[in-house]
Amino acid sequence: MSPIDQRDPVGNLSLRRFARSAVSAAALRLEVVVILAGAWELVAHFAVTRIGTSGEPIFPSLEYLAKNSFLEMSNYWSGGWGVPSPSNGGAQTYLGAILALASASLASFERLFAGIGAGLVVGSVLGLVVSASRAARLMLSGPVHFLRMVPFLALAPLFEVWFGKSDIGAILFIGYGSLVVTFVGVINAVGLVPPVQLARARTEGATRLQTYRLVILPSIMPAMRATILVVIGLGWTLDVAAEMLGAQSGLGVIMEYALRLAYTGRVMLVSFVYLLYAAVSFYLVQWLTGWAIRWHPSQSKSPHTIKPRPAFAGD
Amino acid sequence: MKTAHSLGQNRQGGESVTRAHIDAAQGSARLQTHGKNPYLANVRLERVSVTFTRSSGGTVTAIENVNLTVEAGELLCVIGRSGEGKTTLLNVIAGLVPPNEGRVLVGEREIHGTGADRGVIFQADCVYPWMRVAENVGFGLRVKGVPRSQRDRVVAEYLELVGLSHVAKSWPRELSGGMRSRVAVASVFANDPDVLLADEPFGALDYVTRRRLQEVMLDLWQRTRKTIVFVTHDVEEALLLGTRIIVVGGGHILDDHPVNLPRPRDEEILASREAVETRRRLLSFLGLEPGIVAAAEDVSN
Repeated sequence: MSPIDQRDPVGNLSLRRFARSAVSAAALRLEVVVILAGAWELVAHFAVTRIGTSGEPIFPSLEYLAKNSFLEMSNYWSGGWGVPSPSNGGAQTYLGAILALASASLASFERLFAGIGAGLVVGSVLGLVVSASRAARLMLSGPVHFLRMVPFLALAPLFEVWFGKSDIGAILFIGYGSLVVTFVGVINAVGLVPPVQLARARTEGATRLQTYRLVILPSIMPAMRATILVVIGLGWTLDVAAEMLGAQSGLGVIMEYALRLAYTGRVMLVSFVYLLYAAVSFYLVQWLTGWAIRWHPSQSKSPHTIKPRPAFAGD
Repeated sequence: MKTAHSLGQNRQGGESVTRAHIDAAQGSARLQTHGKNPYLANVRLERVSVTFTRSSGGTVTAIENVNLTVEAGELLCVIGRSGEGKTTLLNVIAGLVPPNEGRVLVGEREIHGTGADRGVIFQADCVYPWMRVAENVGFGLRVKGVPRSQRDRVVAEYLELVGLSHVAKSWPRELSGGMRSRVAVASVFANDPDVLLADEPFGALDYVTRRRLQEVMLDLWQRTRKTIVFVTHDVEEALLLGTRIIVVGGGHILDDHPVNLPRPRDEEILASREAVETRRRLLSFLGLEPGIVAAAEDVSN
C-alpha cells in the first residue's frame, strides 16, 4: 500500500505508517539486490568456462572478486605513501589496491565534475538565451537538436583525434554531451512554463529580466531536476568512454587494461565501483535538487492541508 | 522612484485625497490605498475589435466595434456565455491581447501592453508555487522595487484582510483551493493597481467557498474603491457584486444594466422585485428566458 493510501480519515498521513512504509520500501530494494547477487553466484558456480590467457572465469563469483580481483588492483598503484608498486617489486596488498582505486577515482572525478559542470552551466545559459530570443531560437535550435540525435559515443574517437590523449579532450567530450542534453532540457522546460504564470508577472509589472529570474528559473527547476539526473548518468557513461579511448589515468584506464588481457574479475570490479559512484552521485544530486524544489508538491513528506481559520471555514 | 505607494495625486481632478479624508468619508477603520487616490482611473474602450486567426487558417472575431466606459470606482460585472468574448474583453484592457482596431484608455492614457496599473486575477491558478504565501502577495511590490520593510507591512495588512496571516510562511501546496484564490486576490490588491480585472476567479470553487471569497472581494472593493471589471458566467454572482452589469454576446455588448440594489445584498435583497426583474432580464439576454431574446438579437444585429 502506498503512503498516500495510508492516510487517516481526515487526510493526514500517520508518521509511524509513513516511516514503516519507507523502511519496508528500503527492505524491498535490499531484497532485490540480494536476490540478484544470489542469482549471479549461482551462474558463477555453474559456468566454469574460463577465458583468455588470464584463465579467469567468464562469470567471476563475488568471492573471487574479493579475494583475487580486488588484490590485483594493487598492480595499478604507481607507488608512494609508503606502499610500493608491484611493478617495482612490491607485493600485492589490499592497501595498494585501495590506493590504486582511490587515485584512479580521483582522476575520473576531476574529469567528470569539470565536464558536467561546464556542460550544465554553458548549456543552461545557452538554453535560456535561445528561449528568450526568437532569432537565437531560429538560429541555434535546429543544429543543437540535430547534434542531440548524433550518438555521443560515436563522437568519442573524434575528440581523441582533435585533442589527443589529454585530460582536456575527455573533459570537453563529457562537457559536450552534458551541454547538448542540458540545452535541450532548458528549452523544453521553458516551453512548459504555464502561460498564466508569465501573464501574472507581466501584469504585476515585472521586467523581462525579472520574469526570467523570479518566474521562469524557479518554474523550470522541477523539469531541470530530471535533466540534471540524466546528465549525471550520461556523464559517467561518457567518462568511461573517454578514459577507455584516450586517457592516461582513471577508472576507465584500469578497465581498458584489464579488458585487453581478459581480466574479467577486474573489469567487473571496476564496473561495481562505477555503479557505486553513479548511485551515490545520483542520490546526492537527487537530494540536493530535492531541496531546491522543496516547494513542489512532490517534495511533501507529510501531505496534509492547513486548515483555514474558523471564520473562513468555507475553504 | 515613483511607486504605487508614493502616488497621492488625483490625475483627473488634481485633488489630493488623503487617507484621513477617505477614512472619514467611509467610516473605515483601515483603508488599503497606501496614500493613493482610490477614485483614480476609469477605463474606456473606443471601437475596439479583436480578431484571432485559427490554426486552420480561418479567422474569428472575438469582439467587434465595442465601445465601453467603466467609471472610476465602479464594479462592473461582465456576463455572457462561454466563447462570446468576455475574457477577450478583459485581456484587451489588461494589455495581454492587442486590439486589431480601436483603442483602450485607462484614465486619459492610451494603453499599449500590460502594466502594473491594471492588475489581473486570473481564472487559472497563478499563485507561484515556489514562493511562500507572503512572497506571493508581495511579488508585485518586489518587482517595483518597494523596500522590504514597507513591502512586509503591506503584505501583512492584506494577508490579515483575507484571513491568511496564519499561513504567511506556508508553501502554496499546503493550501486549499479557496485559500490559494485568496492569495491571488490579496496579491493583486497589494500591488495597488488603478484598475482590477478579474476573470472568473472563483469559477472553479465550491458554492460556500465562492460565497466567502465574494465577501472578501466586496470587502476589499469597499475599502479601496478600485475600479473593477469582474468577468463571470454566474448571474447571481454578478447581482451580488456589481454596481453595473453588461451582457456580452457574439462579440458585442448586448445589454448594459445598472444595479441599484442596496448593500449588503443579502438573500432578502436578492429576492426583491427589482432583483428578480434584473435577473430575468439578464437571463433573457443569455437566452434562458423568453421575451427579450428578440431584443437581444436586434441589439446584436
